[in-house]
Amino acid sequence: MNNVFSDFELEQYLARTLSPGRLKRLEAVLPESPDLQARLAKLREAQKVEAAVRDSFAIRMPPEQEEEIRKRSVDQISSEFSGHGR
Amino acid sequence: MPDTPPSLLIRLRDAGDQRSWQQFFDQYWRLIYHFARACGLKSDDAQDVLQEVVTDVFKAMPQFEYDRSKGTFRGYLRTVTQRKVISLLERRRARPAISLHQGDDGNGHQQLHDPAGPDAEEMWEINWRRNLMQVSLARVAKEVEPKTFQAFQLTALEGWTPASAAEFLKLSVSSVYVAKYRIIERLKYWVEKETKEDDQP
Repeated sequence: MNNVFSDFELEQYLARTLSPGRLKRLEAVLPESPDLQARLAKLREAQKVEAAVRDSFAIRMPPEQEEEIRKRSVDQISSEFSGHGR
Repeated sequence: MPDTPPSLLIRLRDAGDQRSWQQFFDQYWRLIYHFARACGLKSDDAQDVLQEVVTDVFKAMPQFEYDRSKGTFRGYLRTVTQRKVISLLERRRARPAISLHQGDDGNGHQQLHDPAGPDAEEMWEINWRRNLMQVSLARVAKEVEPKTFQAFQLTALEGWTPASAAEFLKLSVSSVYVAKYRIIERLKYWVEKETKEDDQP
């Protein structure tokens, strides 16, 4: 890897040392380091994806309930499909 | 390799392609069901909407032309779903003995939305993104080694520290970080791919 920090090294360092506010201040004083800025941006993007994944669980139900709804719907739809000459 | 919406839709035109229909169902059932629930329908009624939407799409598919200049597939699916929800709500209002659900049901449906109201589209978009993330997550889980996925689950979803996850999974801490980033990159890939496929005019 060409960069000084790998992603996980950087995240380890930030996780140990920086609160979100301090991370923001660090970014503000590092304009001369585009590489580090790019890596911080990448980290922020990764954090956004993590947050989106967590948010997506709002449409999940307990597995048994999901399976029950899924199976019932598939059965009903299959029977409807059969009624259309399948 | 999972299908993108257009290629899946093309195969759906073949009414006999059971595998494609199963894939379509697996990809979109949560979205349709949760939209209906968020509009105030009880679980049984939301399942009715789900079945009606899927069978309507099934019936429409042989004549369906996927022309992105006329709109996105998610817009089409929203229109079909909205119509079904509105129709079912009207039927239920004519027979008020069957009530709508109220308040938080533990599935995140704290606020009820009017399926014909101004925020319906936004609610659909939110649920579309959630559904896309869930579908992408399921795809990525099949692409990678179980331990890689577990490393992501533990650290990103369950709040474990990388060190604890590493110890539990018998991996190095570095491997846990690498696994997490790998999953995130694959998730971004699938979400961007699906979004681009559906958004391109």
